Amino acid sequence: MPFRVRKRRGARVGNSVIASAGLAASGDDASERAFEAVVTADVRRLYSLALSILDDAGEAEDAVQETLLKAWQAWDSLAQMDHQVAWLTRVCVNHCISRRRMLRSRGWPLPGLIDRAGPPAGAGHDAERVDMDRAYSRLSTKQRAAITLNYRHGYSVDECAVFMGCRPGTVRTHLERGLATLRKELKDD
Amino acid sequence: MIDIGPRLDSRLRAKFDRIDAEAPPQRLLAFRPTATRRRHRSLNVIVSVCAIAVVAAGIAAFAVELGGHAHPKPAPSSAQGGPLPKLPVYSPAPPSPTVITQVPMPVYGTGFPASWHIVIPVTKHTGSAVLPTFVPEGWEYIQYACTGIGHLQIVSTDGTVSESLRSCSSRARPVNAQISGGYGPLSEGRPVTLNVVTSSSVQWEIIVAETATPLILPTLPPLPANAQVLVPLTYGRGIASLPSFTPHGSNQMQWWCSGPGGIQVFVSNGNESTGASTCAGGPSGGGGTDLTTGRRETLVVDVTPHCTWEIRVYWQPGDSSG
Repeated sequence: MPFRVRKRRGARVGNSVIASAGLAASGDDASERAFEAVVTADVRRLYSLALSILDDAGEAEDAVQETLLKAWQAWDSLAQMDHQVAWLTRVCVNHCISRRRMLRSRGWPLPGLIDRAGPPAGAGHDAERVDMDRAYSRLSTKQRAAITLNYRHGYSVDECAVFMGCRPGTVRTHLERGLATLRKELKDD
Repeated sequence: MIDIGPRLDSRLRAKFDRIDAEAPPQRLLAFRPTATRRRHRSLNVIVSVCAIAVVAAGIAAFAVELGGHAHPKPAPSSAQGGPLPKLPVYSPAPPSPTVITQVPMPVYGTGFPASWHIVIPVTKHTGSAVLPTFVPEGWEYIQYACTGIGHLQIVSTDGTVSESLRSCSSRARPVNAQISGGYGPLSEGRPVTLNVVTSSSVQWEIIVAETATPLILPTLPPLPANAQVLVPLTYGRGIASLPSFTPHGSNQMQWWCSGPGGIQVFVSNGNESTGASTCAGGPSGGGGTDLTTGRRETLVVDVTPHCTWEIRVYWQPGDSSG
């Protein structure tokens, strides 16, 4: 395992919020530059990750923004870490998963369930792409997260489990069921 | 990494390529960390501190209030009683009630004739209490008032005195200030203790006055069946003012007097005579009528300094003749 993200990282984030207030209040330009060099440079990757999991541009944008905000609030401790990218990934994944849960608990329509009558005008979607989008929208958030992290980003199952806050066996289940759903929807048996 | 078929692999790869090709919004690329919500957090802290302070103040006020109920003022001790130093029975000096500041009670003691002796000075208290013991040597009259939710009852240990006031007023003003009917002669020579029985939240004030033991005067004629006494049987010597009352338009007076000169009863606020008779040559009876109505009034018995008298004022409902 190349790195290890402790599950209690959230507590450290909470504590560092207080410290970061002082940091921000002092207007430390050096910290701001360091933050931009590490975090802002990773925005594109985080956005792709969030978009892959949430399958909605607006929700992905919100998720990444929340991740950046948390990173800034915890920058005092985050700057001292060796694996800042892993920290950002985990926060972003957790936020994507919990955001779906939050939307569901409030009775709001989930992004994937919003009626998509057809492709946007001028998008030039072919039939295969439309089928893939429809099949992908059938996946649950955790299934998308598992497939994205494991298949697209190349993380191992154990690493995916750390990012998603669950056991490796659960990640495997999400992977298998997600791929099975895709095969079924795409009739790729 | 798990195994995916080649067809699904190509489709998934194409899907993720399309996702990766989407550029993040400019809002994310231009993210400025200084735009954090520090001011909101500060405001939240201030609001939280204020809210906690308000709640703490409320709890403290409630605790203080609760403590006040749990530890009421001590009742006047009966040990303060015993034979009180008495003024001369027919002293012309008026009673000197204590100035009342807490509760705007009515004028205390002013309703008593100046010659009466104050047995228990103005006593203020909240809730039930035992008044100082005194040794009666005449007729006792009680003037009292109360405010708060509840009733007030004044009883003596032997049951001779049993005075009930109507419901006390919950407003700061007015309270049911009234003078009781005469009690006497009480157990002459033996101490008497009055108990004030009421609910714990009722504030009350009381003063007890005493007239001298009646001189030997004839008994007044009996009252009519439906008569309502306005001024109870009162004895005196010399000039005196009677307890105030609210006239009803046909207020009857009965008196006996004995001594030099004569007796005349008039309304203090208008010098309107309501009746007169002579007292010389032995006890002589008489009466009068007061036709005023409405505002509270006080009658003054005007006699020579050595003339003794007894008087009673009543009202007879339905009697419009006067």
